[in-house]
Amino acid sequence: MKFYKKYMTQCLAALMCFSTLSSCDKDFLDKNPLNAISGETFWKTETDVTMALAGVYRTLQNGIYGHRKPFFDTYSDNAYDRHNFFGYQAVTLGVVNPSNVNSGLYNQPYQGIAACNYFLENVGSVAAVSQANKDIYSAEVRFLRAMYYFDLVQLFGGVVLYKVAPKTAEEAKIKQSTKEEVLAFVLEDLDYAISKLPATAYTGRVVKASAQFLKARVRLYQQNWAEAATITNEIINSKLFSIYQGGYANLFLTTTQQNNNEILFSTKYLAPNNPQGNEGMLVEIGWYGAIAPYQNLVDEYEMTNGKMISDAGSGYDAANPYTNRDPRLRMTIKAPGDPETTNYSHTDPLLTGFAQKKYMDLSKLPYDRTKIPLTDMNVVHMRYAEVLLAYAEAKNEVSGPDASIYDALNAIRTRTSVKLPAVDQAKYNTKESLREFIRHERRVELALEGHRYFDLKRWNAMASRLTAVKNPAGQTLVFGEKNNVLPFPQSELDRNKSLTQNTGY
Amino acid sequence: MAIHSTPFERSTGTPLPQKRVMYATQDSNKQEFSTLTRRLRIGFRVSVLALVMLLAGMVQGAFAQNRQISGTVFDASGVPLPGTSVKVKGTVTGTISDVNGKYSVQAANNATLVFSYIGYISQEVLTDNRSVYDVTLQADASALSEVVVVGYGTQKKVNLSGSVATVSGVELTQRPVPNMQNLLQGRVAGLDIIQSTGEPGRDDASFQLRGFGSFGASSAPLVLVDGVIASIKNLSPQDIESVTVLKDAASASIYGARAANGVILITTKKGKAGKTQIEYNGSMGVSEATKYPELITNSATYMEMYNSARLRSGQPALYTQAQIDLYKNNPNSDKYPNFNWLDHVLGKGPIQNHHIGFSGGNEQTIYNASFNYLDQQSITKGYKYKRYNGLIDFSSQVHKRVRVGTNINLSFQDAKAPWLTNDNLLLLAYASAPTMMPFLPDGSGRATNRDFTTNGTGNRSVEEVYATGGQFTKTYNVNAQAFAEVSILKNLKWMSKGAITYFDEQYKNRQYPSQSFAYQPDASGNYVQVANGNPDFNGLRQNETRAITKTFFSTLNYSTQFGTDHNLNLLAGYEQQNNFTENVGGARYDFPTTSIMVLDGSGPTNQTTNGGASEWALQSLFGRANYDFKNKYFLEGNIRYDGTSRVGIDNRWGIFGGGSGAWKLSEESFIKNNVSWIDNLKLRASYGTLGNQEIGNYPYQDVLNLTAYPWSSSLTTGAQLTRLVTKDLRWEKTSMLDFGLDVDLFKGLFGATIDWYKRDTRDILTQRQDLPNSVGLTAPIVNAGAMQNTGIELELRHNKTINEFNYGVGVLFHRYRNKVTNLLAETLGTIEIGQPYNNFFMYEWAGIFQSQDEINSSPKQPNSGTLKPGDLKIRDLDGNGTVGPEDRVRISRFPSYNYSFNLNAGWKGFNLTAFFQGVQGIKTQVSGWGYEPFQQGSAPPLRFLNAWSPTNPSTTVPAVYQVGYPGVSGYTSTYFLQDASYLRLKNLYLSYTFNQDILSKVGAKGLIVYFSGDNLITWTKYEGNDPERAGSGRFAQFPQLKIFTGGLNIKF
Repeated sequence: MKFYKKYMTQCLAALMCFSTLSSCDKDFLDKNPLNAISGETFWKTETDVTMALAGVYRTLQNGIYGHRKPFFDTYSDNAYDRHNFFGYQAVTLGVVNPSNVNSGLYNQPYQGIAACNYFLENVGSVAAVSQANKDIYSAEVRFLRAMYYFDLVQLFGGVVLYKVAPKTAEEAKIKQSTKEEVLAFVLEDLDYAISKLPATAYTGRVVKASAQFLKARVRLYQQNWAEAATITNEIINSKLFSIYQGGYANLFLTTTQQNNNEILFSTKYLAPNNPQGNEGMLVEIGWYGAIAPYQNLVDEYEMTNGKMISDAGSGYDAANPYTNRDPRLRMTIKAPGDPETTNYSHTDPLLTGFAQKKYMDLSKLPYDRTKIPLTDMNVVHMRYAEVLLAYAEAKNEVSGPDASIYDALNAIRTRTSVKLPAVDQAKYNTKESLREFIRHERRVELALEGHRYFDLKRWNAMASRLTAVKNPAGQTLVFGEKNNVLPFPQSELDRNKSLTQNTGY
Repeated sequence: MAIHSTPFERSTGTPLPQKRVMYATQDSNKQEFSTLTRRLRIGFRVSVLALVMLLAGMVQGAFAQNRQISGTVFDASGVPLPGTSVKVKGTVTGTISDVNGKYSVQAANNATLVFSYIGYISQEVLTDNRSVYDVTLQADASALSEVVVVGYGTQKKVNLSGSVATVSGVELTQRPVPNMQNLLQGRVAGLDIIQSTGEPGRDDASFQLRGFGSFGASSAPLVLVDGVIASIKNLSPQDIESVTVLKDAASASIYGARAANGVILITTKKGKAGKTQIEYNGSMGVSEATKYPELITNSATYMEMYNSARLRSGQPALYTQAQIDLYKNNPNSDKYPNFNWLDHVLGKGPIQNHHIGFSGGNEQTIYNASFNYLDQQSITKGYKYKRYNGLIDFSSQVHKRVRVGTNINLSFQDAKAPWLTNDNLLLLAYASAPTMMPFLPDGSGRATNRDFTTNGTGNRSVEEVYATGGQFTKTYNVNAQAFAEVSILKNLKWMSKGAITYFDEQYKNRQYPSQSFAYQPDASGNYVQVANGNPDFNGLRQNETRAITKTFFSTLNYSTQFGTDHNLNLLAGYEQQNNFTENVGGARYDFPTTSIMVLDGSGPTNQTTNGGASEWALQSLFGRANYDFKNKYFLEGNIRYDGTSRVGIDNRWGIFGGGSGAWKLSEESFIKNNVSWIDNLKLRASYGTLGNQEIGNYPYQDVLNLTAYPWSSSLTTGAQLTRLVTKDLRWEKTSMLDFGLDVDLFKGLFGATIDWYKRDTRDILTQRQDLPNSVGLTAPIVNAGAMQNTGIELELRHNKTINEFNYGVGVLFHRYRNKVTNLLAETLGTIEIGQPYNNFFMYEWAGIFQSQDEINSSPKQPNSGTLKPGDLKIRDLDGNGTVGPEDRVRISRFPSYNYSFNLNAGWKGFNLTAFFQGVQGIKTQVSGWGYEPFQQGSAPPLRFLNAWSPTNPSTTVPAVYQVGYPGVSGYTSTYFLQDASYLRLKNLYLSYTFNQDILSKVGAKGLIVYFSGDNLITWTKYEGNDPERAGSGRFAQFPQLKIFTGGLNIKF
């Protein structure tokens, strides 16, 4: 037995030695991500900061800020959400509720806000970056944060406001702030951004005019016409931006969007490594006829002589309804009989008879689905035409018709490729008649760019406009008082018990 | 003499065939003899016995008139059996057979020779005047002698105190199923297996042992092949010696943090000492769909129904009356067909399998080498699957104290599949209208996409997918092991094993356009191209993934007996594993021809690349102690100390362990001496705690994902924080209490194993469910909840032999109840404390509205206002007059019970086995193509011929509608719930074993021919193609397979 014991001890000792040796090799169990960065070692260099900044911008490619943005028009009298892909049908039928509301409308802005807050909390501590640069980076991010919060207000009214990111689930479960509180925070961010951002043309990074114009939009929303007019006028006077003369349709094609002086801000994409992807083709090739413009929108387009189709002597021919019309019609909407028809034939039958054409690259005909995932059209959020329209709208509200307003509108109407007659100053010579004309021009110029829903709401015109439209199933569109804001998604109310549902839902 | 198990035997990593020891006893090399007998006490004991008997025989020989009797002892497969004890009954005379199975003994005339060998049924032979007696011993299959593989060792089954089940390779290979994973279905009580589909190479099964263990981490058992992590899928079923399932926590806890969902130990075949054996096993078979649903294939009916369905949704008719009339007036013409797409798409798929093995060895060295080739065609076009397996097992006694060996498993799988698979492929067959055939009627072979040019297509056609490319996967696996066993002392053994598991997958997805047409020509009679086949992209996407897992473990095993009644066995060990996985991929587009399959075949325009890597590591110490007293009372304890890279440094190490005890009542004198018909009666109890480390690689770390954004004409790399992180994650732990009973009666006539278990999983690691979306980040992984599974497993056995006829019956039953016991945040209706996990939570369907009056007088329905007669009626459970969310019902997703039974009968060389398997009380929620009419134009199922209409007041089938119609699919109701219970004749196996006399003439040692049928009959109420499916989802699934196979097994 003694012999055994001796052996036994030796062997156990050997085994333990081996084990200990390996255990002491501390690295063995320390495994860190290989294709990502650990938060602990980040935020040291200027490169780290620009990477984080690019990460914040990337949230722009998120759903409604990317290729889903045109779908906002299906919330209005402009178009029909053919397949209810994003749950927009319910809104126009007045039956939107906490269960069927598109939760992306709530989640996506907040994803952007989280990225902004993470950036703003950390950028200050990076010693390797100059204060001047930090200010500019922060200004860009605060612009984005303002945009995200403003959209939340436009969609939901008062929302949960995080000025800094919550660190735990418990910290995040707070009551919503009022609409006014959130807007005050938005304006605070924008004023900072305006004070720090460079006054240059837009090429891909936020510039001063981007922030100025967002502020103008907030003021329009608040019906603070005077300030909206002042700010838009400042942008006009900066002369950094102009109406693009290279063709209206080309504003929405990737090659002509680069360094385009009409664009103030957009979500950018870049093929092949950063394209819109498969979902983008819903817009890019009108796949599935997903966005189906209504006749009501088609009818809004003037005749080339500047008359509305219902005007006496317009020359409108019901047998050839698409001839001699505002050229923007056929650059925005595919009408029956358009030459591209056969190339659209792989889509489902068009329930309204029309398909969306804006954002489509007709030079790529015939459409080959195999190439579409590589499409990289930039989604335009702000362009100079809208600045002019906003100026016209605000200025008219402040002081009624004047030459600067007509000039602004004419600049849009007379661009190369559109060339409509100037505004009929005799006809639109009162504040009221000109207001209607500006709204008309705005609808046509910005059709299928995702503005109509927000415009109709702030004009309080949603209900009256929707009743004029029937969806392809024959149902008249409905918009109730409560629908001015959307319901919070039920899933969010379940998670955050401090959040109160909006009135009426 | 009862040679009971020695502690030594239990702990052997690789069970050594005792026969080999017996060579040594006859070897002239005395040195070798003595050391080897020291190594294995059985051998020693037998040798002593033999010596005694020999001496006795000599003494006896001096008195009686004896003569020399000799012969050879074989096993059932014709291999000589060395070491067999040969005794002359009633005397002390005896001997043991030598290395070639030969024996020689002195016996009187009319003596009875008794041949016995451990693991074999003893045989008595009455001598006459012949002097040569060759004897064949049959292996004793009864549970009493079975030795099973357990964690880091082996153990005699009757001595187990935990809950351990085994399945032999022989039993598994009766089914002609190509994927080893699916063969275990219905073979182990408590192990519930669901085969997902019948797609060649994509038919992986999901495993669940003793209920649903975790809703965060993986709930799949740990699978070890010869002690090392590997995939069962890469094995050829013919190479399996046995499968052991460690079910209770005490047995599994030797694997600690990986064992929360049980452990499946697979042992591959080893060589046997003796003459070289060559074995060939070949089979040819054909597969077809078990079943598929019947849809409406009459085109005119389809078109009319489609129109009325659209009308119901307020949409204009799709077909004109003129179009409908064309089909009505030209029935069954090629131009106006009534085409059954499912018949077209689903056909027959041949399967062939060839396996050849070589094994043998001598006293020092044993080997087993085999090669397997499988060629499986699909029941659809577009698939091709070939699998090549190699197994090399070799071990050698290189020194009197040292044995070394290697075991290498290789597999190469070559799979082609359409670029859309499973339900994504099959739903296309459902979505294709009966109004067109797959190709134009002009015989040109051009694929169709829709019936009329003017109609939008619902989706692609299956033929378009076949014509536009495919995906090609080549998978290489190597599981290479080497071990050394050192007998340091008689009772102390040191075993070390190193292994490398290498995995390489080369994946190519190649797609290109191909013209497709409308079935009906245009006005001028020309066929119009309407699409280009609709591939997803035009090019080649390629990806290669490599993974390497390194394992090393080392064990020390000490066994001793003190006194005559106490046996003790101790095991201590160390193990470490690490894994590194890397992938790299790229894509190019617009190739000049469709046959080019390499990236360089096209230019760099729009090319993309990608790559990634991850790693994990695990380090562990473990130990086990077994003690038994008088072979009556058994105690076992296991412990494991695990450290993982996946948990933060403060909580990284966890201790897991368990203990079990058994009392073998049948060894007590009050039974042993009084109740002779009880062979074995044992009570077991165990308790243990296990961990689950399958929680993703870096759940506790703040990770910034790399991304990019194009500020200018080039991309800028970006970094994004995308999730909130909880740094102080604790191990997810599972504890299990188990009580069991084993009983064997009347010498194997009846047997039963019954287990009751309660399994608690706590600190379940999963994503936090209540993080507000306003945080804007993915919720963190947290220790979120607890769950309990309580269950009963039952196994019944009955075997009987009547002259030349023998038969057996086996029944397995498993029933468990799942319950969530704790949660950080409940989800109303689906995930709640006290309820089964993830209930269905839906409205209860009560019938069909027959009239507007009925609608008006019924409780207000969830989407009232748009309701029409013919819509679904929903039950107002609380009777408050309004059907609201509070009227939804909770329905469990778990089955009531799983069961299987096995019947076998043998007569002379014939053997017939019928294997039934079933699941009772399981519900599946189905939707879409084939269930809901006209999803992308899919024809309604036949029952819609009896749909509600004003003239046909059906109470079970709503009026014909179009998917998405709010009156039926506006809310989730039990209308979409199907009873997926089934019982099926999983397998029928008939074989004939040729007798030795015939075979010896052709020089063969064994020949079996067999026929096997799989999934032959299914009894179910389920309406879809097969009730056996991977959970809820689309109604359209790739079918399961019915396989008919014939084959033969021949040995030389």
